[in-house]
Parts: sequence; C-alpha cells; structure tokens
Amino acid sequence: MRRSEEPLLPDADEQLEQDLSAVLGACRTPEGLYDDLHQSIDEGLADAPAGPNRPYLVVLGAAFSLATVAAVMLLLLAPWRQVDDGLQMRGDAPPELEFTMLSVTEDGDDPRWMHDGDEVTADRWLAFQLKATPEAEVVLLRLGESSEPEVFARTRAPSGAEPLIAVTLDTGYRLATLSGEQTFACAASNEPLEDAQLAALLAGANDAPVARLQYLTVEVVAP
Amino acid sequence: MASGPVGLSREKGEQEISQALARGEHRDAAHRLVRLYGDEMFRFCVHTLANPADGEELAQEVLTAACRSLPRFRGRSTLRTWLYRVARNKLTDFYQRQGRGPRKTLPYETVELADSDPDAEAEMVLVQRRQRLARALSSLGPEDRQVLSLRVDQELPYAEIARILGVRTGAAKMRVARAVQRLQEEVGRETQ
Repeated sequence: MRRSEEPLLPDADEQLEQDLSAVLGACRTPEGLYDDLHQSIDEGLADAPAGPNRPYLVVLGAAFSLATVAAVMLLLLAPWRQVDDGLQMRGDAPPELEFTMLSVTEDGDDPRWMHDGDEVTADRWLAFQLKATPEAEVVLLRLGESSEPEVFARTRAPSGAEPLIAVTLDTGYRLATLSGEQTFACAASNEPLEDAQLAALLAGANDAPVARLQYLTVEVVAP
Repeated sequence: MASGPVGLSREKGEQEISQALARGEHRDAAHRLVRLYGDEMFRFCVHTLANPADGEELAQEVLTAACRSLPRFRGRSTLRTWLYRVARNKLTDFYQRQGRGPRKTLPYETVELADSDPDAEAEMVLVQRRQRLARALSSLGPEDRQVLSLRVDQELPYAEIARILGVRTGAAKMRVARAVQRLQEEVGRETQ
C-alpha cells in the first residue's frame, strides 16, 4: 500500500506504522454523507458568488487591536525605555508590531498573517515573551517560525526597581503578576484559551498548543 | 504524494475540476470536488476531532464552504492543500462554536481493526495491539492526531503538510516526530 520508500514516520518501527495506518484507515465515510451537499450544489450552491469579501474590515479590526496592544505596551513601558547595545530602539513602535496584521484572501475562509505587505505563513503566531529578570530588565521576545525567539525590545526598570508585569487576555483570564525568572508567551489571534494551554504558555513551551488571541493587554505594575 | 495510481487519479481529478472551473461549470466542478475529496476530508475531520458525529458535521461544513468558494479558487496551491486549509479554518470556527476542545468518544475502538480470522491466536494479538494503539491515539491532542492523519493516512509529503499547517518543512517534520513520540508513550501506558 505504501507509495514511497521514504519512512512515513521518524523513529517508529514498521509495525507501528502498519498498525497506525490500519487504525486510521479503518475510518469509513457513512453512506450518503454528502447527499444533501450534492443536492445543494444542484440547487446552485456553487453558482452563487460568495458574499463580498471585506478584508479591509478584518484588516482594520486587526490593525486596531494590534495598534492598541502596541500602544499599551509602549505607553506602559515608555518610562523605562533606553537604547540597549545591539538593539535599535526608536521613538515609535517596534516594526513587527506596527505592520503585522491579519488579512483574508480573496479565496475566502483563508485567513493569513501579513507582515509589511507580504504574506507570512498562516499559523505564524504573533507572539511575545515577557520576562522579568532579577536584574530588573523586561525583555520582549518575538516567537516566529523558528524555535529560537528573537529579541525585539528590551527595557530596563529604574534603578533598584524590579519590574512586575500583569497580563490580561481577551478570554477574561487575568494572569498572575509575573516577576523574577518567570516567563510568559502568548499569541495574538482569535481562539479561546483552555486552562491546559495557559499552563503550557506559562511553562514557556515554544511549541505549546497556543490558542489564538485578538486582544492582549500588558500592564506594568508599579513595583 | 503524486506518485502511484492514487496520486495520478488525484492529479487527473484536480485537472478535471480546474478545467470545469475554466469553462465556468461550477456545479460540475463542485460535484467533482466532493467526490474526489469527500472521503479524505471525512477521515481527516474524524481523526482530528476523535469524534465521528462531530467529524461528519465538520466535513460537511468544510466541503460546503469549499464549494461556495470554489469559483474563486486561483490555483495558487493544489486544490487538496487549499481544501485542508479551509478545513483547518473551519476547525477553528468549530472549536469557537463549541466553546471548548473537541469531545473524545474513542471512535477507533468501534471499528473493525482486522480483516482476517479473529479466532487465530496471531490475529487476536494483532487486534488487541491495534485496539491499544487506537486508545492511545484517542488520548492524543487534536494537533497530534491531525499531523498523523496527514502523514500516515494520507501519506502526504512533509512539504505539503508544512503548507497546510503554514509552517516550514522542518517544523512539520518536528510536529510529526513529536506526535509519534507521544503516541509511543501512550501505547506504553496502555501496555502497562
């Protein structure tokens, strides 16, 4: 049954592969499952052009929410912002925040992340990691496609003050204040979060099954 | 994978759909799409959700949405890849509507896992082993089952899985490898 000589599964023996193939392949489509759909097609389902695409609304909405996130972050972090070695800090928002937005293609039902006018992969999370270190330094990391997070912003608290960060998600969760060595990663998109996902996020797992969020508020709490 | 009779048949099927679209015969194209990918999409949905009833519902939603959007398909990917991306987006909608993760009802245990004489001892061992595997599979998360379905059931190359998931090929390989690892761990627990 195999169509290729390449092993289907890494680090799996042939027996497991065969068994898995048998288990998955045992799933059978119920008789007549698509009868109604075929009837709908005959009645013009595929003829009618889909409703007008209004990607600009999505783009505006996403841009608004992202701009809000950026503004909140910058506003709250502004008193601490300094130029750091190797990192170009400018007077405006980090470009990653400014230009990343969600769009919808003309194909419909196919949301994609756009960055500076170019499509990036669909599931690339707009993600941040906030780390309040004992050295009173807040580091914002962007988690892109690679497993290695890249630093795009770094701030320092006033001398002697330890930064505390509170994060509120659009699901209503108010995460505990983060400080010390704790890290936090989150993603900007539109799925609700499950408790287990939150736990994974708090554990800092890059491959955590992160839910999508559209609204994220980062608040720096006065030490 | 395009090689082999199944791959050739799929390529031919996609060509016929594209030709129907080019002629403006959208109904014909939609009927062909459902016939070509209906079974595959049903299995993908059931595997991901681990629930036959939800899988049926989702598969119909996916194909209905795809048929509606088909006249605007631009051919920037294969129809199959496009369809899987529609499926993943519909899956997101499905979760939002449900307000939680998918229900698990151990769908694999209800299917016949061996097609030969179950009285023979060797066949009994085979059936039991596959039933343990089925239970282990049901214990995985939907993302793990999804990549295993794409890789093992559909035998998709990593590059195509990557396009469907919107990640790089290396990341797709990693996701499959991790899913296999977790599956093996679950099988180990089932065996104990």
